Amino acid sequence: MDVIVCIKRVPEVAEVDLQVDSTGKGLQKKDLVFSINDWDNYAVEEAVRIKEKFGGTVTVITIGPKESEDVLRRALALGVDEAVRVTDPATEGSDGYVLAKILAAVIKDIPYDLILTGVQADDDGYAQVGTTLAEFLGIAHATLVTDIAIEEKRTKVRRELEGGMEEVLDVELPALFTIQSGINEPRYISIFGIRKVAKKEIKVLDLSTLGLSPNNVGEEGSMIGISRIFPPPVDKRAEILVGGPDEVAAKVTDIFEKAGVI
Amino acid sequence: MGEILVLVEHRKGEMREISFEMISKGQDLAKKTQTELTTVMLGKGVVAKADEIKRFAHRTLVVEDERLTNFNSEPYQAVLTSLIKDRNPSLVLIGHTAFGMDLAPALATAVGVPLATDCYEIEVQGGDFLPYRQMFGGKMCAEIHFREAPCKMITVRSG
Repeated sequence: MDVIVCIKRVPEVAEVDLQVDSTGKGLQKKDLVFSINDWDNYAVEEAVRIKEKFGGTVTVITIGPKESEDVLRRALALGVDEAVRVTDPATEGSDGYVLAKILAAVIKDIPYDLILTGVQADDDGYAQVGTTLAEFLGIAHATLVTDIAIEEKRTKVRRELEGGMEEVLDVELPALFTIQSGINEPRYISIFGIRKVAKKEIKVLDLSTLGLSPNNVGEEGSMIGISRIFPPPVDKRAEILVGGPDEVAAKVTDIFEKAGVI
Repeated sequence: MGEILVLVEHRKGEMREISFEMISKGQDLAKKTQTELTTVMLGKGVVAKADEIKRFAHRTLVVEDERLTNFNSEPYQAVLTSLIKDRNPSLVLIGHTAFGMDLAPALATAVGVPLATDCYEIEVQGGDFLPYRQMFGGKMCAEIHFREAPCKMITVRSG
């Protein structure tokens, strides 16, 4: 069972005040810490578990500058066999459609039974690259996958629906699944583990090797673009209740009663 | 300008809330761009349900087949690809739900239309659709522009 996992390096934004950069379309990056996209981490772990159970290889692919090798090294330390990085200044500003097109160009030369991606990326959150890639490759896909059971050339996958519901699909391989967080518990990667793979070769590809022209990628090749980004508008209707605990409780009860809640 | 097409979502015989949200937005956008609103329902035995919503749109299309009983992105994609090519809508609205997330990106690629996912607002400017979406875990909003194309697709966030 040969598995390919597409991963992305993203900024950690949960605990940070974000600032718009001078282009108005991106974030100021200087104070940001980057790491592997959370969903992708689960996908890498799942791929390594499949390899441990059924044999075969795991290859990870990312698109990005030299710094993106951090997330590839991390994957290698986790048990991945091969790492590929696509890099080209022209890919800057690519939308999900273009990223999928680039990944498809890489994957056409790699044998695989299964492709895994995260459901979506922490940064742009398009939830688009996985299924678009499956369409380019002409293979079946399932999104929001929370369990994979492989039986010969087929798999039973469970996918998450809204309202606590799930569905089980029977999918023929090769196929692409987008992995929901929580599908497994990713193993701990020690500094020592990452050091051990520090010398491991990472295959670096550029657009010309992939047979893609700069016009087909980046903003020019994209189907959509970001015109501007801005912080969410703040609703000014918040009302602060002041007074002692009993007083505030009475005011809250009053508001609830007026609103017909109680 | 081509019609606005809303894909009605239903599960186990029940209309899903997102469908009404999209119909309401679709009505608004159709008015602003002086075009018509078409709702589309795929399934098996859904005509009665379609009857309930037909008053909200200029027309309601129903595609009935055994294979469309439950949502499955493969047959849905096949039907919608031919429907979109046939009807040339200016905009296709699909819910950003477990169903829409599975369907829309591959469908958009198959038909060759630009797609903006998970949008919370759609404005009209100079006859073009401007979707807004959140990024970075909801800490930033983004105004999106589409590549020039006769048809665009948007998946709509609930709420």
